[in-house]
Amino acid sequence: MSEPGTFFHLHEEDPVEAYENFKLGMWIFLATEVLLFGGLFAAYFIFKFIWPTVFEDGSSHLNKFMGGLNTLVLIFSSFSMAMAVDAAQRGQQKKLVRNLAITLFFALCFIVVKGFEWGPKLSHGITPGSDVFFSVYYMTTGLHLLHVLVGMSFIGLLLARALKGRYHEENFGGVEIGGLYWHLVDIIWIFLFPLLYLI
Amino acid sequence: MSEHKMGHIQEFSIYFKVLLALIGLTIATVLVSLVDFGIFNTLVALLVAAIKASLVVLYFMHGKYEDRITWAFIYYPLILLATLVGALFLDYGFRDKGQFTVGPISFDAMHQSHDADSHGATDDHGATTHDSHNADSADTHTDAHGEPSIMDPATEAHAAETPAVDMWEGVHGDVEAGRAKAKVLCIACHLIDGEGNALPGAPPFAETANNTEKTPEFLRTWLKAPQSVKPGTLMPQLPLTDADIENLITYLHTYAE
Ligand code: HEC
Repeated sequence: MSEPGTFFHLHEEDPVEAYENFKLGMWIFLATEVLLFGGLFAAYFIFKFIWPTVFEDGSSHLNKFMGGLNTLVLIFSSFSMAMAVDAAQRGQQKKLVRNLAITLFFALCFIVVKGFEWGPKLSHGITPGSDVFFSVYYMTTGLHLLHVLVGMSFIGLLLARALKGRYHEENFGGVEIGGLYWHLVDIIWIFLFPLLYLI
Repeated sequence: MSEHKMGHIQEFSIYFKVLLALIGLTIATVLVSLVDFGIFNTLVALLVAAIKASLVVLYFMHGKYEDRITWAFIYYPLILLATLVGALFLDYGFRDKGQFTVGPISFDAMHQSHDADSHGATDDHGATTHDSHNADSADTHTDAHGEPSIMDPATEAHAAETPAVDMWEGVHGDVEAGRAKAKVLCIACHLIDGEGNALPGAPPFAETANNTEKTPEFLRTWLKAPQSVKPGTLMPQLPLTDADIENLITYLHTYAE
């Protein structure tokens, strides 16, 4: 029996095993993502240690309200993504489609808020070259934004497939993997927000 | 294998409680940041973020129901990260202060390291290497064959025939804007109002300001591209606009006596 849960359909595979492997692969990938951002976090701590005043000054230029708003937006999107996975696990088609769409909507909100943050900064001449704080700021939030965009494409794909009824109780691995990726994007922001905006 | 179920179905109430906890913790961390607890602000912020991240991993990502091999891949990047950050801080924390190229040298530490200074000519002014270098170029111009001179001869000749007052006439930057910029960009190596670090070799601003050879024109070129004036200098090329440079040199001139 060739379950659609098997990623490449190259050979017959036990669907449960395929599902477990698929998920483990994603976890391993997420570990590399943590290290990618971890290098930047290490740079953040060292530069902050060397130039505390530059960081204090730079951080005071950031809008805590917008940063906090985006934190909540991502938390809600994580919740709706978890609900989407739950719906897929239970085979609830409508709820799955609805929650994927809500997640996409929140992701879009995040980008809009980010635009309102970056836009005025850049037009006031605050760029990655302004000082070491803003180098770190634009690099970390920029790389994070890239992850948001990748996550949105992933969720968009899931949505298109969910509309065709691809996911059900026996096959929800794809949704779960998309969820894992999206939650990591949330977790990274959970750290970026206090480090850049609050302290 | 087929009796082994795929995934784990979690109660809705758990998801909902986690959502509420995440919102509550976000609000809490913002509120805590409004009060100044010094280093504890950082620790609290990191602790709260770690709790939030754990909730997401355990309940939204179903980490709670994952097997050991998955958990191995959750811990492994964290251990590597802790090693990286730990090693960096050991390095920075225990370096010989005098050896810092760029770093957090306290004012006191600077004086101590000068007493025990073994490189360059020791003197009372603090900036050892620079002072000895300036003394050379004041005596003769032969150092053109040795260490590259910070002054180009043309500027030097020009400075000699122009009285110090005149050459500052056309400089109308904003002193306060200059001071503010200096506090951000220069303070890591030059003392500003007695604050920051005095990097060995970086002359105090007062010394530059009272040296009539350091014309505004020279300072403009210097700030724009120190390497072009003195290849190999430790003074970095900083991201400055022309307006920043005017403000900075106006501010520097306030040190002139
Ligand atoms: C990374 C450390 C560092 C930073 C940051 C730095 N400087 Fe310097 N600066 C130096 C060093 C080192 C020298 C000595 C240059 C030499 O002789 O090679 C120097 C020299 C100077 C001189 C004297 C040049 C001369 O010929 O007398 C001036 C003026 C100066 N810096 C201004 C500034 C200003 C203004 C800023 C901020 C915009 C700044 N510096 C930032 C390290 C730094």
